[in-house]
Order: sequence, then structure tokens, then C-alpha cells
Amino acid sequence: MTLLEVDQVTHRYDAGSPRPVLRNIELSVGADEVVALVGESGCGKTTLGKIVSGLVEPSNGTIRFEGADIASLRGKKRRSWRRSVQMVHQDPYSSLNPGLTIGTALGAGLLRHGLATRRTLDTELLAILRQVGLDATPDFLRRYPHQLSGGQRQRVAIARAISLQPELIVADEVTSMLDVSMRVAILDLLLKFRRERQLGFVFISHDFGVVRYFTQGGRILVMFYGVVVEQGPTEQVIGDPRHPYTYLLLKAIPVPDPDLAWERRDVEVAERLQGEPSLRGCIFSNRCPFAEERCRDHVPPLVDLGNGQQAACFFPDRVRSLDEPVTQGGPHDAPGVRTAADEDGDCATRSVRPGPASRHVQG
Amino acid sequence: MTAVGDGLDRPSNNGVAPPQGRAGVKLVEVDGLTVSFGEGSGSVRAVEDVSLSVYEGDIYALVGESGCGKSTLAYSLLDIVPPPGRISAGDVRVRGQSLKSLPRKELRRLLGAEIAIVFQAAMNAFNPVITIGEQVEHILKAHPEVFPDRQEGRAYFEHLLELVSLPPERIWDSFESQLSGGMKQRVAIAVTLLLKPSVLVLDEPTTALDVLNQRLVIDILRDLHETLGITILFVTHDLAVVAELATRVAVMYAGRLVEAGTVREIFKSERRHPYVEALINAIPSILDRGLTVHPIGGQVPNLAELPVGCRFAPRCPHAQEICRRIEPPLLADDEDHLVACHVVNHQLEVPAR
Amino acid sequence: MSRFLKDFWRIARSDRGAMVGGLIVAIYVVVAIIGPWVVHVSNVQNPADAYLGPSWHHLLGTDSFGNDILTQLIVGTRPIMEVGVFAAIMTVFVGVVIGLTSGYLGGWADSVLMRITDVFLTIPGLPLILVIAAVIRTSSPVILAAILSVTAWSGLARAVRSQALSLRSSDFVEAAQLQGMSLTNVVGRQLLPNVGPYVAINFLLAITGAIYAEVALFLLGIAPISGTNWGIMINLAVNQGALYTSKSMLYLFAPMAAIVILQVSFVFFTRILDSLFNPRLRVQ
Repeated sequence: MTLLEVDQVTHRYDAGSPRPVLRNIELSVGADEVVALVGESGCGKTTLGKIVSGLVEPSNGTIRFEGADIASLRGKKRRSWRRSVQMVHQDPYSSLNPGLTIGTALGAGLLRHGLATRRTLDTELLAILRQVGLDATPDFLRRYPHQLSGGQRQRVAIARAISLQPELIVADEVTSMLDVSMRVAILDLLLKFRRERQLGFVFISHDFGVVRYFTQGGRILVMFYGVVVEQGPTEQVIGDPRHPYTYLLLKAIPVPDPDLAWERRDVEVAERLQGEPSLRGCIFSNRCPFAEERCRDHVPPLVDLGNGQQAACFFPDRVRSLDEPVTQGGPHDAPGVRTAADEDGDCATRSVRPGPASRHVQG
Repeated sequence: MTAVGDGLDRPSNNGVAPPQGRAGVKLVEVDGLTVSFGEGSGSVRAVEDVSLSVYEGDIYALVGESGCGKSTLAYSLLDIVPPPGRISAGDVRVRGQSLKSLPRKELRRLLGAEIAIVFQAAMNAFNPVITIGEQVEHILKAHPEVFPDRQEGRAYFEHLLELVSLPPERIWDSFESQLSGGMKQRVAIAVTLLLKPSVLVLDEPTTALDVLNQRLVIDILRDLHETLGITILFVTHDLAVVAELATRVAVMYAGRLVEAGTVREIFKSERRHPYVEALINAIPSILDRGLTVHPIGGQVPNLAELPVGCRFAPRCPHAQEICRRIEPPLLADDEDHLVACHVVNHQLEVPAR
Repeated sequence: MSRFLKDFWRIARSDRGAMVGGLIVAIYVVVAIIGPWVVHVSNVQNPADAYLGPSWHHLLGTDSFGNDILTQLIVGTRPIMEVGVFAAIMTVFVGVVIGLTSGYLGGWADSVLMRITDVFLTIPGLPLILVIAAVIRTSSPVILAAILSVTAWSGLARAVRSQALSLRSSDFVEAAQLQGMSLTNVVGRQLLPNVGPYVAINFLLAITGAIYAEVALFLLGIAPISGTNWGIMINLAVNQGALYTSKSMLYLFAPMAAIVILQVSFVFFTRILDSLFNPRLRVQ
């Protein structure tokens, strides 16, 4: 049964802006399914997360939860939906009210939705603390957020989300502000709840490694400035990307292995990824090494590539495997070459790198 | 050997002489440094008895998680540890000159000429009501000894902007609100290099940036190292950035140095500190082994309530009796790879897991 | 509660000035409550005893009618503080509710509320109070307090609104929305604690402001001269010619000193309110 449907959602921050934050997004999440949204900052993944969780109303399009348009829900049905879709924020330092104790923060929702009474509240809260691996003591409930570590706060945030027994959780960069050694623990916690309660997840992250670990068989959507450029089973997309942006992004990621990092080194990658998205045609055509006329005039639709993978590109086969450097094969791949369609983005890349002849020596 | 007050009088590095073996100009030397916060019995040592050397040409990574003391250590190199912190033992020497022994004015002059720092979220350090160019002019005006001719100074700055992949004429007249976070980070790096320091210190240069900007910063720092010959010391918790950029790495845990060596040794050597090993295995990544990750159980110890013996022992899968009683000293092998671990250094028998 | 008191004690001890201020305010409060039961102002006039200097019998001397000044000061504390506190409660309640709700809701509700607030903000406070008080002659402390707070809430509303504006996009407010919290909960439970120190400080300052305005009313004879309070004392002192002779200095200055000491004590006490109402500073 489809838990969540995102139907042709387009969103603009204000009516006048030329480029929408999200453009024609289509997405569906089944019960117990994990869908990851990946992309750089500004790609719209967080906005989509807020729209999916009902915090923001999209300018166009519909969000359907268990078949019903959430914008039209009222009364009891709305309350029921409100419980069913929860979100965990990125910043554990701002998602807990600094003026409230942990107990108050956790208990508010339980009382509101009738999941606990004043008398049963403490017992319920202690049980929830235990489930997220925190000290299940009354003393802990009396603490304030500033007395907890980042990892502990994030656990409280997760406790708050699952306490309402939701069916879908939107996890917005839940590990990016945590210490490295904490991240897997938090991901494992969420995975535990996913298994125990058959939760659906919309998992937002810019870190492919984290996404890979968490989705474990789920799907990934790669977003670029509001457009889904590629989607498919996670291992598939990471192992065999078919959109040039996905490929470049994967290439740009720093990897924790010095030898591999050396092998993958490619000075062109970062340049390729900079600059404004195109307003006409394919959104990536400004920076794409394979861009042709067709790409600048027409918006490529998401085409099926088999195995559930889709890419919004006219030439998905041009993308080489990760082993080969990116600067081969396309007509516009020479560095520093200006074409007529190049827009002056907020960061025009002039690769004026002084050669050995002008090497400066520290005086 | 562990419950000590301020003003340690035991020898640095637990009595073990620092290794010889690395050649070149030693730009920064940290010798048995301890940085304390607070007084008397309540004092907490954010950095305890750390010794390391940064040679000219190094790209040195100081690695650890929050609270390990890496930022405090970096700040002490420039004598900017925020009070109530202070250096309570040991010394920092820049080009051989001890920071402790110099009078204030000399100290400022030495540090200003040799070391510059880019703080965490340096993108927030710009004055929002004047242009970038005006801010650079202020800096040039305050340091006529570097660029007596301000035009030359501006030209050099624009050259630096090109090195960090930014269009000079656009940046000079921009206000900070017109630039993205990643761009501002790069401008901050260019500004810091303006006065031609020998050592560039960066505190968490890639944290709070997304993948693209992280990649840019890594590439730029590498370029600057090659082109300007500048020595770099950066503080980070991100091991992927370390693998991509660093030549030497020092890992800190709960205020102590637990391992130091080349980047290849840190990632690939068999002789590794269990914390470092656990940390690397706790990073999900797109590498093949990136799926089999394990969290590190337990928590970083409270600096005010440190365990007796090795600080990592409570969480270490290899911990032995001796680990819980005596703090392990940093010992080097032939390649100057330092590890502070009883088990690793003495190849103690490890019980089967 | 006990934790709050323990924290309060610890914070108070760290700031001597605030502690002294708080102590003095506490003394005034005690005097205000039990004063009238303990001492009585006589209505008997003894012109022969007029303007006596300080003595054991009359610690602060006598007024123009021969009545003890100190007694009058003590009895006069309650009316002044009563009205001050009531006015502050009204000011703060209206200001905070309007400010937080307006800032949080935004949109047309915000526009409407802020236009109303702006009107009250620009009307000169004291002249308006004088006019209203002159028209509505009342000796009820509640009504008097209401008159005093007629414009005072607007400045607070504006300031609190801007705090609400920046708070409303916080993650924890979003989290409350995700939990389905009602508007009252969001404003009262989520936003209010975050403006706690600001509100507390403004509450005390509102008391001082109300006291000044109140004394002005009595001094100018606009509020009815009945009973005893400091304002009336000053009024009577001036009318009885206290300005023309140096013997009456005490009669004139005693109530003034009482007012000033109280106000200054309030202000000193506000120094620890930030630590007290901000959990990050209060709880360690």
C-alpha cells in the first residue's frame, strides 16, 4: 500500500522567482520503504522534506497520505495524519526547546494525542527513553537540552518522533552535525525502529555513504536544483550512475582512503559542478561535459533504464563508469572553454591556475 | 601517574624521548603541551602532554571528535586559547623561538608573520556593511611592512582569489551577503594568505560545507600548497578529508595524542591505535567496505572524571589489565609512526574475539 | 521547585548588588502587606507638633499636621505597590500575548494587531493617563492600574513580537507543529519560556514605570486624595508650603526617597533575572 505520494509538486518561495525550488517532483513511498533524497545544498531536498511532512504547503501539486490529499484533511482525520508523519531535524542543538525540560518536550505530544494520561505519563516516558538508549531515569527527564551531548539530544529528538507511533518519518540530515563515531549508532537506532515498526522513511542527506548504509535496499533520488535527475535502487545508482551529475557528484566525494583518493583525483570535477543551473532545457546543461543543442532546448524526462533505474538525460549511456576520468567523450569538455550558452553564474570558473613557471616561493 | 595537578613536573611524553628522523625546517614544535581550564582540584586539561612537530611542506591534519582538544591545541599555536584556558605546562616553539619566553610585542610580531588561522565558519567573519575590497584595504593599511605599495597588495590578493577559483573583479566590490557560504570560505582563505604566513592553520575547514564546496576547499588547499609552498595544519573530525588532503596526521582522544604518522600509516598500517581503527570502521562511505561499519560503543570520557590508565580502555575491544592501570606512552617505530597503546606496542596477547 | 530555589540562592549570592536590591524589595513587600495592620495613621491634627525634627518618638519627624512621617510612609506603601503590580501584570499580559501571537501568526493577524499597537505606541502615555484619570475619578486600585497600563503594553508588544518572529522558524517550533500542538501551546509553552528573561525584566520595570505614573497622578491632584500614600504625601507637602521652609525638608523628601530607593532596588534586582529565567544559565 502506498503510504505517501508526491504528485507533480512544484514550489516557489515567492511567486515572482524565475526558478522554482522544486520542479514537477513525483515520488511515492510504500509502507516500510526507504527513499533517500540526495543532493547538494540548494537542491530542494529539505524543502521537499518539509512539504512531505506538512510543514509547508506546496505552490502547486498534491501530497497524498494513504490516498488522501493532506491539504484537505480536517478534524480527526487531520489529527490522525499529524501523528502518522513525523520528522527528525538536522540540528540537535535547535530542535529541542532550550527552555523546556526533556520530560516536558517529550510528554507534550503524548498528552495531546491521548497516548498517555498525566498519571501514566512518566512510565511511558521512561519506556521511550529506554528504547532510544538513554538513561531511563526521572532525573534525566528533568534535565534541560543544554545539559546533554549532541548524540543524546538527537536520541531525544528521535524519541519524540517515534513516541507518536508514526508510519512515516522524514529524517533530515540527522547525522551531519554529529561526531563521526556517533553517526552509525544513530542510524542503527533508526534502522531498529524501521524493522520493529515497519516504518517508511524519507531520508534526506548530502552524504552518499550515510545514505548507502541506511537505505540498504531502498531507493535513492538524486536532486539538482529542484529537479530529480536520477533515481533507482541505491546500490545501482551508486555503482552505475547514468546521469552526468550523479557521476560527477560521486566522483567529488572525499573518500576515507588515501590511496583511492589519489587514484580518483581529478581537478576538473569541482569546476564542472559549479555555476548556476540552466533556465532553459536540461537543468544541468550549463555544466554538463556532454551537453548538446538538444539539451539546451528540451527538458529531458526521466527515462527508464531497466532495473528500476531512471535518469533525466538524453544520453545516459555516455556516462562512463567511475573508473574512468570524466573529461573524455564530450564536445565541451575542455577546461576554460566558453560556449555561447554559458551563463555567468555566481561563480564563474576561470581555471587560471599558474603553471610551474610562476611558482611562488615563500620569502 | 594520572592524578596530577597543574604544573606537571614529570618529563614530557611520559619520559620517552621524541623521535628523530624527520628532516627539513621545523616550523612549529609543540613540546609536552598542557592546556588547562580552571584552578586547582577542579581544573580540567583540554590538552595534556602533547608533543608534535610540523615541518615545512607538511599538510598536517589534527584529527579527533568534539572535546578531544584539537581546536584548543591549534589555538595554542597562536597563543589565542580563550580564557579561562591557559598553557599550564610545556611550550610551543615557532621557528625555534619559544612562545613562553618572548615578550608580548615580539610574540605578536612573530606570530603575525609566521602563522595565520582561518577559523571555523570563517564565512561568518566578514563585516556585512563594507565590501570585501574595503576590508582587504584595512588589512593592507594595518600591515605596511608586508605591502608598502597598496596596489601591489591588491594585485597579490587578486592573484590569491584566482588561486582559490574565484573571479577577482567580482569579489572586490561585493558585500558578504552577495556571496555563498562556500565562496566566503574561500575568500577567507585568500584573506588569510594575504600577509604571506609560513603556516596556515584551519579549524574545521570543510565542516558545514556540502560535498561540492568540500571538494573545492580540498582541491584549493592542495593547490595552494603546491603553488605557494605553504605549510598547512588543519583541524577536522572528517577522516575522508584527511585521506584526501593530509600528508601527516595526529589523532587526539580526550586531550591526549594517541597516534601520529603519515596519512598512509594512519589508514593502512597494521600497527594502529584501536581508537583510530574503530573510527575508520565507523564511517559509512561509498567504498566497498563502507557498508560494514560498526559504531564505537560507549562515550567519550568526561575530562573532569577521567578513567585511570588508558583513556580509551573503557571502549576498547582489546583492553587488558595493564591498560586500566597505566597510561600508555607514545612509542615510535622506525618510520616515526607514534602510537600510544600497550597492546599495539608490546604485541600483548589479544584474547580471541 | 526546590531546585529552582537552590539555583536562585546560588545565583543571588554571586551578585551582591542584585541580592541587596532583592532584599530591599522584599522588605517593601512585607511592609506593604503587614504595615497597615501594625501602624495606624491618626487623623488628629496637632499643629503644635508640626515639622518636628527626627527623634526617637518620630524617627523621621512630623508633617505639617504634626503626624508622624514614618507611619505615613509605612501605611502608604501598600496602595502604591498594589497599583504598581496590578498595572505591571496587565501591561505584561497584554503586551506578551499580543506580541507573541502576532509575531508567530504573521499575515493579516499580525498586520491588524500591529497597526493597533502602533496607535497605542504613538499616543503620548502620560498625558493620556492624566486625561483619563481626570475624567474617570476612581480610587479602585484595579481601575487605576488599568488606566496606567493603557499605552505601556505597546512597546513591550513590539519588542516581544520581533523575538517571536525570529523564534517561529526555529526547529523546535516546527517540532511542536509536527506534534500537532495548538496555538496556545505554541505561544505559551514553546515561545514564552524563550522570552522569559526579557518578560521578567520588563515586568519589574513596568512596576517602576507604573509607580512613577501613579505618583504623578497623585502629585498633580488628579487622582482622588483619599487615604495615605507617597504621592499624596508629596502633594500635601507641596500644598502645605513645604517648599518654602527648610524645616519641612523631611516631609517632602521622605516619600521621594522611599520611591527612589524602591525603584533602584528593583533595577538592581533585575540583574539576576537573566540568569534566573534562562535555563541555560540557571541550571548547570
